[in-house]
This record gives sequence, C-alpha cells and structure tokens, in this order.
Amino acid sequence: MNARVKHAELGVAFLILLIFYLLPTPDGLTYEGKMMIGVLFFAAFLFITEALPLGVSGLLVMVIPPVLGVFDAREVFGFFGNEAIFLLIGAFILAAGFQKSGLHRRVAVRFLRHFGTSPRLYVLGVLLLGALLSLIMSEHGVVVLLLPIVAYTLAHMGGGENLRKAGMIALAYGCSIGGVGTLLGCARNPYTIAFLHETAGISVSFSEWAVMALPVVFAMIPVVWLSLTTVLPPERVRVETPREDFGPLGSMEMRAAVIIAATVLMLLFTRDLGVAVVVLIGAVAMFVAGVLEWKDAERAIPWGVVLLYGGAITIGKGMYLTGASVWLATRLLAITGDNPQLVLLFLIIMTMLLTEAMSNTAAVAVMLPVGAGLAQVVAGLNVLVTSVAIALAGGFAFMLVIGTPGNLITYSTGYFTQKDLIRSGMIANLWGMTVIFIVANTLWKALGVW
Amino acid sequence: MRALIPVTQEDIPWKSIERAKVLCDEVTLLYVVERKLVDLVEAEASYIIPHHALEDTENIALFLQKERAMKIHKELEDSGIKTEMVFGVGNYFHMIEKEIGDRRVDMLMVDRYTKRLSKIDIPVWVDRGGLIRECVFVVSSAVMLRKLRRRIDFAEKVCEKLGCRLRFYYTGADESVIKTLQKYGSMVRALRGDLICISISDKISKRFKNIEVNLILFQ
Repeated sequence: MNARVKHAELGVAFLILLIFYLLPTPDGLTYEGKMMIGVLFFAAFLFITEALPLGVSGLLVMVIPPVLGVFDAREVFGFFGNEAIFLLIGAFILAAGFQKSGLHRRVAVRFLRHFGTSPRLYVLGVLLLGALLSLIMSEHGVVVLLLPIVAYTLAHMGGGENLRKAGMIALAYGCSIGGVGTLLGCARNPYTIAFLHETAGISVSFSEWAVMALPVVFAMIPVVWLSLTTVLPPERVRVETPREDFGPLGSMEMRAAVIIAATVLMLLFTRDLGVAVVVLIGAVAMFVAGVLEWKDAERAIPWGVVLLYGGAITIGKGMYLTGASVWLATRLLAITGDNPQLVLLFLIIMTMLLTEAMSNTAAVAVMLPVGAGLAQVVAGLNVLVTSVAIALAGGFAFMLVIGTPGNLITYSTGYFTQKDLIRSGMIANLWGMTVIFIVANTLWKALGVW
Repeated sequence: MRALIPVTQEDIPWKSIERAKVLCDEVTLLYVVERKLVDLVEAEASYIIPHHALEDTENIALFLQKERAMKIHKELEDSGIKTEMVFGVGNYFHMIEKEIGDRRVDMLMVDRYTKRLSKIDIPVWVDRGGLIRECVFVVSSAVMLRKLRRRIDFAEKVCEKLGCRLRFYYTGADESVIKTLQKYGSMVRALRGDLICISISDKISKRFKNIEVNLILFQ
C-alpha cells in the first residue's frame, strides 16, 4: 500500500489516543481506565488498517501505557513474562520438528487415501486432515504444509472446477476449525488461558480446554462439509491422491512421532507441570533426538506473533486492572441488555465480525477484556465462558480472503474467487455461531463451566 | 486479427475467449497475478508464518496459477488459434498497457468494462456473449467523419470474420455524411443490433456500458 496512506492511518491512530487524552474522565472511570480504552481503540484501528506490521503494533501497544503514565514500564513488561509465551515458542519448535522429519507428508497422503476416489469424500478428507493436524500444530503452519499435497491432487484432475474450489477452501476451513481445538493449534488459545490466569486467577489445562473446544471442532466438520459441497457441488470426477510409496517409517520420522505423541499424552494426563513446561520438554527433546538443529528453530519461530502477544496481554490485563473493562461493559449493557444468553451471542457475533477484518489473535485480544467486563456485570455469565467462546469465535473467519492467513494463502493459488469464499463462508460463519452457542449452552453447562 | 485477452484469477473472460476462437487469427493471453495479492499474503501472514515458508508457499501458488494459465492457453491452441501466453506478477492495467506497447495487437478483449479501460489506445471489445448477426456503427458527429475511416475499416473486418451485416446509425441529419456512410453499409433509424461500435467519448456510449450488448469501444 501507498506509504502516504500508511502514514495517514498511523496519524489517525495517534489522533484517537490524543482525543482520549483530551476527553474529560467520565464518572466511574479513572484516568488510567480512560486511557486504556483509548489504547484499545488505538490498537483495534492499527490491527484493522495494518498501518504497521502486526508485531510492531504489538510492541507499540506495550510502549504506550508507560508513556501515558498508565502503568510502570516494569509492570507492562512483566505482563509479557507469562508461561503462554513459552508455550507458543515450544509449539512452534515442535511443529518444526514434525515438518523437518517429513512425517506430515506420510500422514497426509496415507490419510487422504482412505477417502477413496469420490470427490465429496475427498473434500471431507481435506477438511478432517487440516483439522486434525491443527490440533497438534499451528493452523497456519498446517495450511503451508498441506498446500503442496492438496494442490498436487487438485491440479492433476481433468475438469472438476468446483472440486478444485471446494478442495482448496476445505483446506483453509479445516485448519481454522481444528486450530480452536487445543492449546497448540493457534496463538489465540494460549493467550486466552494466559488472560484468564492473569485476570481471574483461573487455570485451564490442556485437557480442560480440549474438552470444551473439541466438541465444537467435531460438530463443525460435518456441517461445514455439507454446506461447502452444497454451495460448490463437486463434479463427478475420479480423485487420484499421490501414489507415493513411503516405505517403512524412517528413523527421523520415528523420533519425531514418538516425541509428539509423548508430548500430547503428557499434555492430556499431567496437570501439575503446566502446559508450557510439557511443550518445552517436547521441544528440547526434538534437539536431543537430533531431529532439529538450532538454525531450524530460528527459522521456525514467527516473532511477529510473539510480539503481537505482548500487545494483546497489555490490552487485556491493562483493561482489567484499571477497571476499564467493567466500565465499558456497563455501557454496552444498553445495547445488549442483561440476558446472559443474548450477551454471549453478542460477544460471539462481534468477535466473528472483527476477526474477518483483523488478525484472529488481535480480534480475540480486543474482545477478551470486553467479554470479561460483561461477565462481571451480567448475572449468570462467567469469565471462563465468555473468554473461551470469544477464543473459539475468533478462529472462525470463513468469509473474507483477508480474514485469516489460511484463507489468503489458499486464495492465492487462483483456485477460487472471493465470491466463492463469501458464498461458502457466510453459511460456515452462521454454523460456527450456532455451534459455539449450542455447545456453550449444553455441554459447558453439563460440565459445570457455567 | 490479433487480440490481447487479459486474465486474472477473479476474472477469466470466457465469453471473450469463446469469441476469439471465431474472430481472431492470433491471441496474446495475458495472465496477471495481481502484485497486491502477493504483497497482501506477505503483509497478512508474515507475523505468523516464517519468511522462508511464505516464500515456498508463494512459489507453489504461482506455479498453480501458471498451470491454470496453461490450461486456458491449451484450450485456445486446441481450437486452432495461434496463442502466445504471457504470465506475470504485476498491476493488471499496467501490464495491459505494457503488452499493448510491446506487441502489435489489434484489440483488447474483455467480458467486463471498467473505467480504466477507457484510457486504452486500441479498440476494446466488451463481450456479452450470444450470436452476432448485426453490427451497428454509431456516428455522432460529421466533424469526426474523416477520423472514422480506420474504425470503419476495423468494424468491416470484424463483420467479415463474424459473417454479419454492418450498418450505421447517425445521430445528425447531414446528407453528405449519410451518403458517405451508405458507401460502407446501410443506415438504421433506431439504435439496435447485437454488436455496437461506438466511441468512448460519445455520450450515448454510457448507455451501453452496463447493458447486455456486445460492444467495440474506440478511444
């Protein structure tokens, strides 16, 4: 984009802060609270316009509260020293080991072969494969890993324009759906548990998260498959998956598989150690077992998301500590009313709309403090419910190309148009909304979450 | 007759491609991957996907786009049209202008008219599909008559290729103009036809830009 436009957008972002600075402090809010709401709008504007790279926006959001005298610098940087940040780093290293071993290719090709030659089943296979792999590594990383494998099959078919479209969109959707299922699937989930721990003192383990989120994943797969193959009915062509003969499991593949399996088992069955410690043990094991070298890890960690996390936790904790989230929530009640069901639905819809316009993590960062505030002022709602619902809704950006890197990467192959994505995404988004709402009202209630 | 057909992933002008099979001897197929799309992937994904992985992904995406371009190219070649394919990453309009500058093409063929095309220096064919039986050439000014000669020649060539009649619609009443035009074809009293040849600057042309009639727009 034009540098002048970017500068103008940056100017507008700072103007937002200036307006908040000059505004009189409303009743019931402190100066710090007022400025944190200003930082929230400032960040939301930067996240949407991307006047600065997202990581840099994250850094800027960390710098502004000390400059404005809202928090002490040590306090702000202290927010950053959370276990979630190490969970993120460890998860990226584990994923790098999985990729370097080549195990992903064997798993993907073998898995897709089980779906035979039917085009409809192939679309289901891609959806499931994307979702399952995104349970153990970053959803966006899975899109990158699977793209050549899925593209190979789709490119080597005679005809089948709709199958190409549906297959490629299924890859993006599958990864987005799977990404919400565990704490390893995306940066939003570790950020959410960090937010819950830092603000409400609630600890959520790997298995507790999975119990709440996996039903959403498994309910979404069939409905998204049906809607995708209805909107883009695949032609009757024969699907040929790559005929690669992988032979027996190689030594490096074996080592990577054992480490990943052991890490997941430890995550599921240990609680005392903490999620980050377990994942870091797995990450270190990748080096000890000779699967990874340091340069692999250096190449595998996207520092942008780590810095964005810093900005996100500053907004979340800052809003909470200054009382800004409760003040804002009280004002929002005029729109939402105080019915907990309607408030929850409002949060899910708002997050889904925001996540189409900005990075998923950024959308969750903006919405979590709002949700936490509402949970404090609406009887019958609690912060765990609002936070997990927001985190799940934040992953469901199905409609717009810019909604998530997965959509954009698959779109860049030229296999589908924006119109195709909007048509299929609109239905998927409605399903996403419905599924989260129903699961929250049934399963989470049965689990005693609220 | 040689046409330039620009293609993007969002807009594959199938109607123009089909028409070119009947109308053209040669086609330059320009497949454009928008630079802004490549930049957008970098901007939106680089915070979460390492740079080297993004580069690999970009290469795969370009390979797949090229494969798509090759399929369209093959379809044209199979129908007996000599087709040259140009594949590139850049700005759609800049690349069209560059190709027109670099190659001798007689017209640009598209399915959808956009305002930026009014700056193109060669005739722009906007195809809305369907059979063309009658071509009506619009003349709105006697002053322009001498300049029209080359355009009329072009329209005659098109009509010859399509096997349709060329007629004229003159908005004025100058007898000498009518006589001159009648040398090339008969006159019509009402503006009709399956193909309208009109100057972009002509006020009447605005009427046609959004309706389902084939157009040849002259600069």
